Amino acid sequence: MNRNSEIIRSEQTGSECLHVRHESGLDIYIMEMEGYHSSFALFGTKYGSINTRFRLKGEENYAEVPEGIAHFLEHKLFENEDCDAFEQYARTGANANAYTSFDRTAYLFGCSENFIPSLEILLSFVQQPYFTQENVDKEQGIIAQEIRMNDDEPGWRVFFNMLKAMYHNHPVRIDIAGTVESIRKIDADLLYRCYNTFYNLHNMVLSVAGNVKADEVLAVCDRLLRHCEDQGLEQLYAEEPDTIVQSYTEVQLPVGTPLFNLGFKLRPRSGRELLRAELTAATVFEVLFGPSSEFYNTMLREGMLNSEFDIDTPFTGDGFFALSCGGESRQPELVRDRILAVLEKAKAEGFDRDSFERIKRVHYGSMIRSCNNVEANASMMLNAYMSGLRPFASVEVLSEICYEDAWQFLREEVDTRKHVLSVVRNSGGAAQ
Amino acid sequence: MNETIQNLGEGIDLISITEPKFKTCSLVMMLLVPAEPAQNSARALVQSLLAGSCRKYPDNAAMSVKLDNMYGASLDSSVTVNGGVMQLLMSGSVIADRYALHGEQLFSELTDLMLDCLFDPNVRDNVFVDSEYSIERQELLDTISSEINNKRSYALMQARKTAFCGEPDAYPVYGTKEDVEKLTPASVYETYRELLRRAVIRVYYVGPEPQPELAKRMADAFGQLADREPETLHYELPSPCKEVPAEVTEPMDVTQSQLVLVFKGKGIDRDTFQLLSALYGGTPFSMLFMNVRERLSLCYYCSSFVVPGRGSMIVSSGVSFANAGRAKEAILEQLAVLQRGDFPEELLQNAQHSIVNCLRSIGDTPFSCINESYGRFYTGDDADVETRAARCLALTKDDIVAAAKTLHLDTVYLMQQEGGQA
Repeated sequence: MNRNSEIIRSEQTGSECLHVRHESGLDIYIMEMEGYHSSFALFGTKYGSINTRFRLKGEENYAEVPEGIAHFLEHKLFENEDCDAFEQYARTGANANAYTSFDRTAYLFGCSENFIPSLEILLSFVQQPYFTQENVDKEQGIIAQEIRMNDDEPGWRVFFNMLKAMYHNHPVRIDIAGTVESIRKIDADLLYRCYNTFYNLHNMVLSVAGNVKADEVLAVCDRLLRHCEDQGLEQLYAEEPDTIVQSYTEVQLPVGTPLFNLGFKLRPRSGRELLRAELTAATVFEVLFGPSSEFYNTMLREGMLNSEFDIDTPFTGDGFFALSCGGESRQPELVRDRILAVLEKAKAEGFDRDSFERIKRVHYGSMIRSCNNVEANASMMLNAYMSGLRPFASVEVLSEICYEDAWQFLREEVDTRKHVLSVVRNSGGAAQ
Repeated sequence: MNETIQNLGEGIDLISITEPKFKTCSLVMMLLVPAEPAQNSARALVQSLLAGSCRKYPDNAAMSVKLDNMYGASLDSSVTVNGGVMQLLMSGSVIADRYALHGEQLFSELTDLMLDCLFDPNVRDNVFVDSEYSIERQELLDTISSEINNKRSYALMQARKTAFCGEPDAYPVYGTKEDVEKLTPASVYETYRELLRRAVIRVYYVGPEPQPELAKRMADAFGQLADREPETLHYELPSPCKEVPAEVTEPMDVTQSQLVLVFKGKGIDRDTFQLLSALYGGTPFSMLFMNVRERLSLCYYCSSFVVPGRGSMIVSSGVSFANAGRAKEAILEQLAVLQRGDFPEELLQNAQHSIVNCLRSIGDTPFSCINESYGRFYTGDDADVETRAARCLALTKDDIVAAAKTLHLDTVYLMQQEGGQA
């Protein structure tokens, strides 16, 4: 079979992987990791909770589907006409799962033996949907309980409430699993419609790492992948104003110390520009608010924060970009005010250059660490594809970021007026 | 993977695991003492004080800058109770020296730092320095008050309180707010000294190459401990089963009920218990998953796990309050199926594959190497991964049925939605 392939190497980490553009339309990444016993595979599609309005080449109108359908589809794809994919994996011993996020769905397994039979299961069931009204109805109860579970999770609620207060129209403001009401609108026909749109191999990636041999992986792909035509998928998002909805939101749940998330809405972007912005923002926020910062240690001494405080990974995707941090505090409003003051001062006066270089080293160390891990490497390659980047781009871009660019980014891109504070306070259902 | 063990003194061992594929070096200092619930808060506070600062890096800011400079080295502490033993862990990790951009000797720095933390803590006149003590004390109080945040783990903790009443596992691992309030910088310092005197100490190194200097440095450091009286540890602490199962219902402002069932068995060995749980509720093809979730659609999760050293197995599930009774019945029914041996041989084989797969993944992360080595120590079972895999594959349906028949329901905990009706 004809293949376009290349070896991609990272000088910094010493790692390398093979990229193949398969004739079927699928992008395949394979990292052979010498000395490892286990292997990990991810088969992913650029389809998540935000992809609710779309059309294919030649279609006049955009289809609009219920919230939570990507996640629902993920659950149902495990079931085929004869048996459940988990039952098939049970025979190989692989540990299988899947996840749906805002902009992607991935089916995965890890194993230390029977890798090839497990890969065959993965490639087969993801390409063989089987939806009936009966099995759709059966899933409603299970997913309703998953939604309820998240409703009781204060960390989940405080984050999603922040997104709701930040985004007017973008579907990122809706829970990935949808709502108990929205999933009731899902039927077998809608699932097929979404499947046929987004589970096209031109929109998908296979990422494999660990104790694997590239030739064996590709032989399975040659045998099982079904050739797809690129359907010219187009997506539409509701226009999102450049403002936030409201700067404060609060809910009450049984919690100990109040939880908070403070987020900033930034201009969305994509590709390498997005990666550079993500790494720059993460570095600047770590300098200003991380465990070695003056802010963090002052707040710790004053009892305004505890070690639960954390800077979130930049929250980015198609049409959204937010920076946030959060944790526990008895006075979240005071923490917000201090953070805003630190940002304004840093915008006006700059920040410590040595600290900036030190935090860049921390990020470099973190990238080296992740190379130890089979799963992390497979995820890194999948994430790169989803972002339109090459594997190892992060470590390259990190080395290019300089203090002057970072300060400029802070001055021009972080608008403190576009902040949202989301708080969860105790409802009285828990002892203080 | 190569493992060597060197004795550094009475009850002190250094276990060095060399694995060339790793790009990091990890160092773990493990203090093991008998679980004594009244000491939980003091011991937890000692651990966080030791990992949070030391005389050389006397506050969080100084310590964080030091770790940042070591390419984001990690230094963490934890306390857990495992059977009759409390395990206090200080663990550090750093990228291997060959990845340092300016030739830094990072592992050597990490070793110095961790020895400073353990032997030269942030102490003045035999008490922990008040400023750092106050921060860590508040941190511990916040941790205790936030145990309610995660409803699933909170429900498990509440179920254990009833199931293991009067035993070490009944008590929260961080103790209680009242316990913390009784502590002082001086009393916590005493606890620290006591730990160094009484603990069995295991130091683990995992990295890509041998560290020939490490044993001497550790021996010199631990040689300072003159009055050592390490305790005898008893991991196995089987818990008696109640004649009549206890039922606890706790109202809470939640949208989903949490249901926890605790079962206790007799004389089930580790391999058999692990396989039994995988078959019953520990995998996505298990009896609980396929029946309670997939067939009856009652929940998103319903899974089981074994409590090490306690001869017990716990099932936890998130269900609507209206379905809690049906879920409980279904969980008990599946246990009855297991006890009758009314399950296909193929299910047993699949559970065996699953466990063997996990066993053979050991060695692919530094902490799996440490956990496996520590597991051999605390079980007194020297079997390597392949021997354990062979033992698992040799277990039969009769073995599982015989073990399942010893399991009895001990406790049912239900977190009830406020306003929900029974």
